[in-house]
Amino acid sequence: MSWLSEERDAHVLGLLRVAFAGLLLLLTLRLGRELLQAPYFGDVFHMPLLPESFVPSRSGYSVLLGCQALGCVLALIGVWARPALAVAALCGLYGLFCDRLQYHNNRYELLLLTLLVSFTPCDRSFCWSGQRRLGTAPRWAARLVGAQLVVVYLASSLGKLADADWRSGAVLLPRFALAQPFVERYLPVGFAQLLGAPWFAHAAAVAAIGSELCLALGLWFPATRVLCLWLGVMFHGGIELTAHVELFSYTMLSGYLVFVTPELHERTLSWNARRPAGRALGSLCARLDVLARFRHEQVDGQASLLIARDRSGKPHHGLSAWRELARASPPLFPLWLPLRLLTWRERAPS
Amino acid sequence: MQKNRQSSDLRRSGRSRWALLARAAFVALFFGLELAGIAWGLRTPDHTLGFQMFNETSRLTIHLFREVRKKKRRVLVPLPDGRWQAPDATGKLRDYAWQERVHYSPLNVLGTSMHARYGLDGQLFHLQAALDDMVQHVTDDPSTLALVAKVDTLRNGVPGRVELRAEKP
Repeated sequence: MSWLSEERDAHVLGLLRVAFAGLLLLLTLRLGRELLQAPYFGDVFHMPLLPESFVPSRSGYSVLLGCQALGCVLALIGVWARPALAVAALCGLYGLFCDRLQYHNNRYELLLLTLLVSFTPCDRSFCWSGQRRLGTAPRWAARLVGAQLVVVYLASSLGKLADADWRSGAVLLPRFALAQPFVERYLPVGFAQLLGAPWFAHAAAVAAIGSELCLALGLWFPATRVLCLWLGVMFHGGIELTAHVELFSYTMLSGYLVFVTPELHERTLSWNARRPAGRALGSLCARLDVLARFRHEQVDGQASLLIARDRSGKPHHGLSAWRELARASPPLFPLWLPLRLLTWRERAPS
Repeated sequence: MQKNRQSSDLRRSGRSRWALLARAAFVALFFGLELAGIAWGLRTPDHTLGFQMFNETSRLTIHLFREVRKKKRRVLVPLPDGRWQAPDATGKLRDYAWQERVHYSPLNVLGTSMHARYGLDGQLFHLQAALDDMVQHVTDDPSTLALVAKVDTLRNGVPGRVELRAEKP
């Protein structure tokens, strides 16, 4: 149980707080808009999970949403960040339990994750005041954020695995049929035939269940983590492109921040200062390095545009250097696996 | 001095032991409650709290009827747009509308095939609750004896038909 007393750098957790406060604020604004545009759910047909007497009046619900929004804003700017985030999450959970018709897995997951983030030392960085508390802090609750992601992947994948319709592809086949007109219009004929084939739906179902199981387990092991993070980015990117599930993909991808190594500036990016591209890209990368993964250097006498040194200090040139950059930069991370495959001959750093 | 430091260390280690116990208790409570919620959710038709994403590709088309007495027989009167008029106990004609009470999609859409979010069983469960709720709110309409929904279903591509009804109290 040493993880309960583990203390490590908390810088990245500040970004986690900002992400979840922002996502919950978006959800709160949506609920507020629904309240203004449609009748209050408590005044029409609804199905509370709590006893009916716990469902607030319209004005009570408005106050609840107001508290939720205020909590999100305070957490976003880093003022009383942790209690504000906890209050916002608890208000949201209370509202969610007042009507199961409004229940969505993605909303429930966002609220649970936000509540757990409020237990992490997430108020030490990314604050409006610009103050940053250096040093280590207890990280036990960050592990719980990771565990919460796993719970969702496991519940979802095991549910599908236990369902004969899902395993056979019968659930995906009608979904693929919905995409047929688009595919027939923009893609070669073969693709449309593929989407209509039961064997393809079965293979896609097995791949989807396998992906979720991989994500549930692989994120915890250093040897498989980066590959699983890449798989997760693609998986949620695909969901975001093909289905409308509110903030689900953004919620899960934000949660991946807890799997980032807490220690900062362990890698080095060295740019050729003589070339304008080196100066411009060096400055851009330094600005975009919100996770503080790199030490940024501009070197005059360097032969190549970029030299990246990994954690062990090993230098990488050419495509390998860009691969190391992509590995630790969220905006470039989707490029990591293609670059890894292109540079597969190089031995992986120990 | 030495004695003071020792007692301060002891106090700190005692505090940290309590802190660890509190953290362990929180972990057990949080995930215990959540897993209990999942277990409960898996047994409910709409899988609330169960994290069952994309569990079905099903559709439903709701046809709504009110049951009235005509020549001593119970007959079904279709309500294609969910609206009807009926005299109340004083004989005054009143308007009733399904959508005034049921705003939740897909139940508020009649006669059109709609995606059954979180599965067909979940939406049929919600529909039964909506019928029960609606008949509770038309007590001043003496002519309506019950509300009936005939639902054309498509569960993962397989067609079917379900009939749900709610008797007026």
